[in-house]
Amino acid sequence: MDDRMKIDIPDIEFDPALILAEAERRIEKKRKRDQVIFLLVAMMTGVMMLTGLLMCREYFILAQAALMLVVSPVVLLMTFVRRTAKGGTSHG
Amino acid sequence: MTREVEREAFVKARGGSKIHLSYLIEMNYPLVFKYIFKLTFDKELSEDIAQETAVRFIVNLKKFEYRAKVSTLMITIAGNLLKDHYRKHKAVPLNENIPVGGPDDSNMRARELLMQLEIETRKMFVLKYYHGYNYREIGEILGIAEGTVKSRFHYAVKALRLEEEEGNG
Repeated sequence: MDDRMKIDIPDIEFDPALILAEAERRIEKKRKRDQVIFLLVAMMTGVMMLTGLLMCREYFILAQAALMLVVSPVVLLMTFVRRTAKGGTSHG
Repeated sequence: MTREVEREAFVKARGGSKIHLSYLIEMNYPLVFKYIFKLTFDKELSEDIAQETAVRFIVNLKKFEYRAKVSTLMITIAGNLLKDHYRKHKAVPLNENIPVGGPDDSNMRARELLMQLEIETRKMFVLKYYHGYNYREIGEILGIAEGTVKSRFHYAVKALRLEEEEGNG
């Protein structure tokens, strides 16, 4: 089987510099995309925090302190707890 | 290239050394090209996949640890890229996606025999028969158990022998 299973490989032409350049381009693109995602997440968090602040304005000082330490999910949870504590339901 | 030299080059490349990165690519690109060519007999596709493999290796270099040889890592990436390629072109059956050569094609017999095998079995056969990987390494590359590799490899050899005997007889 040996001789007949021999495979002739065509000449290989490649330029490592071109490959490196393409990789750098993709790394840069990924870095920019990550920056955009970070900005979007930061904006979303900011909006959520602002919403939380407005919803908790009766307990502004407490809410502000909490929001400085934790992020929006905790604020949402606090809002939910406050609403249900007053006798309401999560459906309003 | 010894393991120690390669490990040193890998660590330096991860640290941002372009010279060492270039060195790793130069050392391993031909191997990846040959591996894909033996699986597909398609020069253009082999070049595309080898280039994409090298680019992905560089882009994801910081995520990799030096556990296996760089060639093993790149062959794994190349195999996955080939799988993706076939998935995208699934209208063409896997074991028939090999271009037909002309009468002067020196690889005709090997091509005829290898195309009898399913792509995953073909990968195992090529890695073992042409590249000299052991069963454990092949299992790691393909993400399957060593025992499965052994049984499929023996099945492949048997099928190829049978095919060859039929061809001779």
